[in-house]
Amino acid sequence: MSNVIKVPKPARTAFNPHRPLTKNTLIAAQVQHFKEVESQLPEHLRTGIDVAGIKTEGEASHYIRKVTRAIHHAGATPPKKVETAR
Amino acid sequence: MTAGLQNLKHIVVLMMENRSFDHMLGSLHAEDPRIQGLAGNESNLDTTNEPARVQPLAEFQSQLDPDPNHHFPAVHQQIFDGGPLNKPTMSGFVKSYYAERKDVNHSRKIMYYFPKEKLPVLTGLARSFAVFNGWFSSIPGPTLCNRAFAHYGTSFGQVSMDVFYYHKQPLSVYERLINAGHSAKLYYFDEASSTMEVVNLLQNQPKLFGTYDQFLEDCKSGKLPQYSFVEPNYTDHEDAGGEQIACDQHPDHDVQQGEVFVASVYNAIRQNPDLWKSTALLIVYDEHGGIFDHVPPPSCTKDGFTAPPDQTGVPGLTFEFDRLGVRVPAILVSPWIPKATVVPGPGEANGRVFEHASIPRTITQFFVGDYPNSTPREQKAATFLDLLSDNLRPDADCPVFRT
Repeated sequence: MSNVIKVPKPARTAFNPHRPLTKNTLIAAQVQHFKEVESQLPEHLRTGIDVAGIKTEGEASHYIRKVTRAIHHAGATPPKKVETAR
Repeated sequence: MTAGLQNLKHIVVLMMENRSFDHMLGSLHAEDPRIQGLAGNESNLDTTNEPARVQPLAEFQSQLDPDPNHHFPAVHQQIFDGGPLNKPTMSGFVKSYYAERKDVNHSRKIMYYFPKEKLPVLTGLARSFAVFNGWFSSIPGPTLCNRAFAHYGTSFGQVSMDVFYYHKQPLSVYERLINAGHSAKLYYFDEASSTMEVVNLLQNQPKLFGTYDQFLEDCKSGKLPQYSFVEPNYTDHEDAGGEQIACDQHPDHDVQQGEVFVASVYNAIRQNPDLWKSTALLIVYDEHGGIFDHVPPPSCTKDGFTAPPDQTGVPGLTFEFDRLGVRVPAILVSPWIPKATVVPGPGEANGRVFEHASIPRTITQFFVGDYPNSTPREQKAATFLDLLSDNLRPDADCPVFRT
């Protein structure tokens, strides 16, 4: 018999897509990086979303989803510009 | 070569977010003194010069708010507390956290750790497989430069979140494998969480990526690549499947959801008998997230870059990438690892030091062989597959998680 370990689930209150982005600098940085990548995508694949208006985790993930999809749509198309270390 | 190595076909790395070794696993010292956790009397002075002692009072959520600062200047204070640079004292954590909210009582919470009962997955794996006493983040700094070491064996001189390095040498570990005819993939949780490799690998090589659902399917169908890197869900968001709670354990995300996720990755491998016998799973955290750990980071081989004061953010300090960051939890899982293995760390007999450059070093060496373009730092990094033995543990000896 295997050693079975029960894993508790988090409280219902754990989910908070309205958490301000200011509380997580990692996601804030990720949004800025997606903005940089989006600016190099073909015009028709860009979201038109102004990232300055993204204030919550839920809004950030909505934007990240759209740009991630656009990057995959762009596929093997080489980016217009390749950033170097800065 | 051991039987464990002869049978090894897949390596999976799961990198979580922003928790220190002592915070997550420090309580295990009480039941197993070989584990270099907490004795219970470790402390830092707060801003009123009163000692703030470690306490088993860590909570799953809403305790480390605001997010503890873990950028280079803050970590510099946490490690040295204004003292000489050749003497890391680990005494500046409380003062560093005080700067976030100017609340003395709140600043003391940076010393809190989890009692082992609250983290049954992480402590269960640490007890059953191999726990590293000396795995350190690669840089005393934030997420992205540390994650870069896991992908490239270097951060290309960066100590911050602005890491742009695609098309530079050395190549990522994924490209090294694929160029040599092997298989490798990064699995992000879903499109709404995506990857932290945005401006580098995702932008330029989107075909390297898959989703976590695909990881689960690949485990089930036996189609897992030789090397897989798994990223947790970084955001609370909704999708067609309903609420997706962030599982990266980055403060202030729920630590328990991270436990569920770690168990899910483990179970996906464990439930395919062929995969289980031929896979090594490394669970590791990118950096400590500003949270207390008592083991001073050791010096290390320079990686050939320097970060001047305008990049480190510390007046007069040029960082030569010659010291590691704060210690993080790291556990290697495989049925070929003897039960309750503890890998000694610095200061112990036969002590070994690991860091994130150990990941590309180990993966490249095992699947490809020598990679001369790697940095001096990666070339000197310790590898970890020697922990796989000749003996396959019985199935009943290895834990199963029920979620």
